Amino acid sequence: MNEMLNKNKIGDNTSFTDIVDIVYLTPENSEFSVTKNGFLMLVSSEDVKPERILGQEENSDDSAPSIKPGEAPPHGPGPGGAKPPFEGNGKGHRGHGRKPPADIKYTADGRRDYGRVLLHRAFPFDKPDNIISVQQEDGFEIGIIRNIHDFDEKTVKILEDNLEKKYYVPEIIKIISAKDKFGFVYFKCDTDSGICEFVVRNPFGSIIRIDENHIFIIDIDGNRYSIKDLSKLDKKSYRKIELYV
Amino acid sequence: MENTSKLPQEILSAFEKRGIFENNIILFLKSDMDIEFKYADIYCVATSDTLAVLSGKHKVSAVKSSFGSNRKLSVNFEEYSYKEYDMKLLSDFACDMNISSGLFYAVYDGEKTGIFRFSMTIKNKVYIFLENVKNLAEKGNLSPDEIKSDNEELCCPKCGNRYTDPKRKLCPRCMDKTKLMKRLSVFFMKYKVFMLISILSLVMTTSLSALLPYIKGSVLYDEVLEEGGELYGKILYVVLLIVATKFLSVIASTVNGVVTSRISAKVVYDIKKTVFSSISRLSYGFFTSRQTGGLMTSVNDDANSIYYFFCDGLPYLIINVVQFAVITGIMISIHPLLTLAAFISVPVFLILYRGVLLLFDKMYAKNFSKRRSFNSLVTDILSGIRVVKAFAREEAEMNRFEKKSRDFAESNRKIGVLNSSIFPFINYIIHIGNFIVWAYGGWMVMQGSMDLGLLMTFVGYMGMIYQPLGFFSEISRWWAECINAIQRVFEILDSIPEVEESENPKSLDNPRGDIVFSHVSFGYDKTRKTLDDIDFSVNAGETVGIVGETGAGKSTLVNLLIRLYDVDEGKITIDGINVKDISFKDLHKSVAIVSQETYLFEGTILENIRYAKPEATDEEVFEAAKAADAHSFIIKYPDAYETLVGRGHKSLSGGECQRISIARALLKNPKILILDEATSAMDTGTERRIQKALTLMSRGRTTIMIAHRLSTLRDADRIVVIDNGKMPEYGTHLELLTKKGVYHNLYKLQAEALKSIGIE
Repeated sequence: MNEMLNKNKIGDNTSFTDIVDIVYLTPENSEFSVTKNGFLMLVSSEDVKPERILGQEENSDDSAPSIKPGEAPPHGPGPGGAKPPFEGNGKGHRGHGRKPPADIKYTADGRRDYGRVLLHRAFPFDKPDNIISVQQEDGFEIGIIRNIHDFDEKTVKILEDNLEKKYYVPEIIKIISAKDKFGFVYFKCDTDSGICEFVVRNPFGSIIRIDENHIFIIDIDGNRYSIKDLSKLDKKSYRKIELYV
Repeated sequence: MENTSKLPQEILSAFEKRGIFENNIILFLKSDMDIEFKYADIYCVATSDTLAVLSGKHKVSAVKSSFGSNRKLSVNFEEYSYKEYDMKLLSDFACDMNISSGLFYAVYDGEKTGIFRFSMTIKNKVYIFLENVKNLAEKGNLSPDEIKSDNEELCCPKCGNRYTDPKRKLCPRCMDKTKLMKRLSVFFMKYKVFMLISILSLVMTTSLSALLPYIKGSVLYDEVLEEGGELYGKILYVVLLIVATKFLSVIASTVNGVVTSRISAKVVYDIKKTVFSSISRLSYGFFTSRQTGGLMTSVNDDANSIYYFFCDGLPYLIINVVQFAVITGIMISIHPLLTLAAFISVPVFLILYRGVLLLFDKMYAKNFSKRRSFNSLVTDILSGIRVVKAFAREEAEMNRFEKKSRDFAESNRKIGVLNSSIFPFINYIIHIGNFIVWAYGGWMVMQGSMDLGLLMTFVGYMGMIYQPLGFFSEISRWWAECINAIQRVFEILDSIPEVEESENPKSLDNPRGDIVFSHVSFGYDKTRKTLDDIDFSVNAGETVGIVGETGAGKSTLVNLLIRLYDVDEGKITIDGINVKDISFKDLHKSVAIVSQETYLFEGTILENIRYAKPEATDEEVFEAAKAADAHSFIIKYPDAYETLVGRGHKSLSGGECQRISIARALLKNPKILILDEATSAMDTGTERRIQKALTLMSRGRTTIMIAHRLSTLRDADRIVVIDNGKMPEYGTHLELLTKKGVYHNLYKLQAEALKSIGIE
């Protein structure tokens, strides 16, 4: 145990960031593309290899997924490259979550083809462009994009488009009516998606303030509607919602 | 084939034009959002060889409801686009859930293709459609009973408005209010004599107070003080008359007060009792669902609102109406023109009063939300004080507290200031009428066309019309609040439990304890199956272990067995009888659970252990505690078994709670024992000891044991592995190890973990 502690220098003034391994997806190790129907795809170099908690090397009997004391971490530099795998440190790393799908596909040039991937923002309101989790369709996290602007313009556009779709929330342009009936508020609004009606339960709990002027309304079904700038709402509309914000 | 009658004629003909005929349509769905995120009417139909999507908009009302209902469909359908997919080239149907919408897609001709989007409103429908389409693509055709249907109507068929909870199909707008009142009157009818006394005493108070201005005015000035009056000089007589009237009025209002408070307590008690008894009848899901959870908290306030309206509001309404009418009549009979003058300021008063009420409404609503956030902060900090201290965040919390506290105080200040500044002003407005009456009336008295006494009487009555006016402006709000409360109360009373006892429940007198889970599927939410095709059996007296990661669905299995929820597909049987047919009493008598979370009710440890079997003797409780290894810590307390635990009393550690919970289960002595991480919060030594007791106890009983620590499951006859809702493996410990699957991996991981700390 001590051996392990020493190895990771926990005793020193080392920060915990030195012992945690995060797979960062960078322009060097990842290539995002989009299919003609708008699905995001990821091809990565061999070193983007999130460790699976369970059964990752199922063909070998004596594999032990956990790190044994005193042993070198399981993932050294990837077979294809001499450079250490992930930004700076070469220790073992874990993805979170469940088992991976059975097989990993490879492209003709030996890179990992993850197929379709999904993006998920870690800080959707404060830092929509930073710390983006890239996941396989089953929710397994492949890695993290530190900032989408680290990538070239074309990729940034692809990522932005994809995020925009995933996080799309109709923007309320005008509140046509808001009627309080029996503890529910029946809204009729004009949004950038068209006119819609929705019902909000307990408006004081379902209208969420992101900052001074930015609010979210969540209706009884879990649909969200946003008002990005309350101060820009016309007076009549504002008066209808004023009470709840 | 689905019932296509729900598809409007113009849609059917639009499809027909493209060669898709009504009798070929096997499945259909109406979605509400197109691929560009615009609200639209999207019709997706599937035949055995085609999937077609028609997008457009019904042009009937100016507005389309986004609720995915089929309401108000008209002949006019403006088409935006039409797409057709060859069923043979489609595969891998799936849905993506985004933040506020979803995408239905499939692989078409080798390429992932988005087919339509949908809002969260119809996500359950879409997921059912998805399953049906997958099934159709696989089989090529579906018979009606192979199609899963959803009976969820989202909108009220009467008014087209959205149900606030589709499961309960209760439209607040269409609710029959007179019916509500009738149902409610049952609560009050029990006390009708008291109600009558209350109203009578109110009428008496009012009529006596209406008499006073007459005595103080006409009688005093015109008969007593005026020379030649009938009662001239008999001042004592008049004063006594006034005193007597006042006295009677005091008596009447005292009677009213006493009677009202008596009914009040009783009616509120009745309502709360009724509501509470129907709450406990409801299924577990009702309490955990987001939509209904909030209902509970309001029950208390609602009973009060209803009471206030009926015991305060209604009698006063009657009185005020009568008072207003009578006094206005009297005033007109005294002097019509003067009455007109008196009423000059009334419209101004009414408008102002209404405005002020609205203003106060807003301020009170804000004040309420400030108070709530202040209160929740205080509770938050106090409950988390250990963490606050551990991270030395006292100052930050103090600042947070100060800010909220300041906001709250500020809001109180605003209300106070407004309150004390606006009402004198309103009073002043009222007095403008008074001034006019004084001026005009005084002039008439000087002219000799009116007696002074009469004028005094008139002025006296004039002061009495403003109170009813003020009351009228408030009563509508009171009424709305009351209806609101009634609606919520009846919503609870009318809720149908999702899990209901069978009409002719079978008894399970002396169960053997054979349990069969046969192809069980279940999801808390239609979009995700928490359990998918779980199939295993436990023979009477056997012990079966269930392993799997956190969130894999292990506890859900147990929830289904004891019917906190009902299975969606498949069935669970005990001794060959479907659990749905077994009476609740017998089912719960035969099964005992020791779960990871234990709740101790406020009371003594003794009472808490005895909870499972109220008739147990003290000796039995002691023996159970001993077997559960709870005795050792209980006996250390000064009051031993009679130590008070629960809220505000001695708090027990997680392991101690679990031991009490085990003692409870042992005491119940059931045929089926479920141990859901029963020993997870204990130290290894204690766990060993209890494990021994549990092993002994599980002899002759069917035991289902859920555990993280595989060592706990060594003695299990068989082990079920649950992984992400599915059951990939089932067998004995050895069988599973040789299989080298999920269990093998878990086992190795735990063994490695032990090895790494030096235990082999």
